[in-house]
Amino acid sequence: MEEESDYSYQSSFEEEDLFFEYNHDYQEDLSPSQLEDNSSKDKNNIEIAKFNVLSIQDLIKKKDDLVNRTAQLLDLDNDTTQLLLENYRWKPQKLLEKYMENQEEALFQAGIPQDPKCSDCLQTIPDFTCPIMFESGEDVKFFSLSCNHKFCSLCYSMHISTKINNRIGYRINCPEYKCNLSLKESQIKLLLNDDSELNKYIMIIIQNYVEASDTLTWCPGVDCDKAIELPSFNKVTSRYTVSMVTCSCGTSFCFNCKNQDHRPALCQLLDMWLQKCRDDSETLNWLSSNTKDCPTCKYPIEKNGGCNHITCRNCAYQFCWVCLQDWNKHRDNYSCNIFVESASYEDEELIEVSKKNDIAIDSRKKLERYMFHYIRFDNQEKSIKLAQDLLSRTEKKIDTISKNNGFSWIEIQFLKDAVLTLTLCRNTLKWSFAVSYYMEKNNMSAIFEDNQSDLSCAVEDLNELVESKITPENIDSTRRKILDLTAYVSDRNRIFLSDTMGGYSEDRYKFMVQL
Amino acid sequence: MNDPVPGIQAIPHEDNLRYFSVVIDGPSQSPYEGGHFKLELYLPEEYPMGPPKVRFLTKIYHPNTDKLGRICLDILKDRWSPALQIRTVLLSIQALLSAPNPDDPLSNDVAENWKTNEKEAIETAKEWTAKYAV
Repeated sequence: MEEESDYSYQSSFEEEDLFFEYNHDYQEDLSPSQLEDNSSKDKNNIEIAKFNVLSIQDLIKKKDDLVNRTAQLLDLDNDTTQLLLENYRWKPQKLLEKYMENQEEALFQAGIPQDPKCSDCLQTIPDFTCPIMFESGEDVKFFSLSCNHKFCSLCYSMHISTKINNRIGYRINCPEYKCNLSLKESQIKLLLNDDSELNKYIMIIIQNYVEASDTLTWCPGVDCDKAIELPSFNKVTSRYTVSMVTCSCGTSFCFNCKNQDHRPALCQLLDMWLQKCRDDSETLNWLSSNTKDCPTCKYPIEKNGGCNHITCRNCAYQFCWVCLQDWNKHRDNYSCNIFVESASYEDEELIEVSKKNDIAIDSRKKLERYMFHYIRFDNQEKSIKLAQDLLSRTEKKIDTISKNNGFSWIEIQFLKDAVLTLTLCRNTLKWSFAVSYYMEKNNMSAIFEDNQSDLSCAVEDLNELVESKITPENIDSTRRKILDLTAYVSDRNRIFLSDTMGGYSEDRYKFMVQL
Repeated sequence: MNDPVPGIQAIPHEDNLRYFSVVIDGPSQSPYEGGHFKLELYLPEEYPMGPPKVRFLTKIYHPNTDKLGRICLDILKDRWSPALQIRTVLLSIQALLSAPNPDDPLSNDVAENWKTNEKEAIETAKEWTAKYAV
């Protein structure tokens, strides 16, 4: 292996395998499952970093590779090296540093005996009684580590399986009270006579390995046991990018936060937004269902009884609860039959009144600002849910059109493509409202909002067109329109996403919150 | 099972041999001196690979126990070793009575009192012993 030459481990250890470069010869021995889904462009047609889908077998192999290489560097056997690596959270650089600094300490911490006597064998000991369950006799085999704490094989295997099943860490020690010595994988294999337990142990090791690694993560898909490897990932860059990966099971998720695609929102923005929604949406719901704003000063008013004649406590404006018009316009009191013409109540002098109530308005404004974004966010979310319905309706439509008009099924697929594109773009729009909520107003945010509204308009146009009636007469022109618009929409989407993501990495945007 | 330990008594229930009634005498020169503290000890299915479950039945004023009589002791939790026995567990509990450890408390108020006003805490422990454990 050539990587020894790279073994100039600097003190920075942001990358797990600083000295094990992901070189080409590594790619060659990948199993097929690692190579699938390795496209460098995603559904949105945006360049994404290369990633691999790893099965449990691949992970075991990867872990063994790491153990192997480290073992060669340390000049130790694999078994011992694995214990050491486990103890240093699978960070070879950290282990190397400590090991070079103080070899004895590193070994002691990991529970490895300094002077390994050969005790890895089961033996019978005449006249010895196991201190745990008091077994003795000629057919009882005893085992001990170099601490010489002897226990019978039955107790040992029960001890090991209890530890495995209770998942108390990866480390299994000698059963003696306060004994720090750790069992190696080969010893556990020897003492456990149950393959399923051994597999559980190996899974614990693998779980530990994946969780300790920055560039590996489990797929969150239901019943999926694959892990994704994203070699280019690191915690620093993840603050201004969103790394989307797709598992072979079809689950697509953000490598950093494991949520579904939330571009163009960054993980932190997503977190804050969802938290805000949890905190505020209930208040909002209550306010919007139980209060109305005073038509002049916008003060929220709850009507908890009485007639429709409302006098605002804040500005003393008298109005009708039903139509929100000036009360004086109601000739016959207590019945409102005036048609509300929007903006008719915006008399200039009334607006003057409203200016007096700055504080109330300020908090109201904040709420309104949130509501503005939340309603749009929520609207897109609901539309995405409806899209499922639209998809099945569209499929039916495709069926009827192709049956009745002699079009081949493939010729009508443009409809389905359009619906899928719609869903994708609506997701972008949805999260873009979380972003614009936090964005401070400046030229850059204006560009962002332009992109946002371009996409939004195009999406609504396309949606309308997809749902329009398609007849044999207009199908040719409709198809052309839909095809064009689909291409345009997905182009807008791509531009919007890549421009925003570029904006993050160039630090173009200012946010009202600390990122 | 081996020689009885002075001041500790553990008798299994007739209908459930995993369940023991335990009495620990308060160690001399401790605020619990003269008290007989009842405990229950249960050997779960995992025993001896997992620790026994022990709890005080007699009310006791001690920083490492709580109102329900549960005990904060490392060997009853993560430091359990199958090489330990009921005997060693009970000895450890007796030792805990001699040397309360307010730095690793289960009852914060008791521990706080123990740290700020040890004299008063010991007085209270004595009172409780006289009131509940005799």
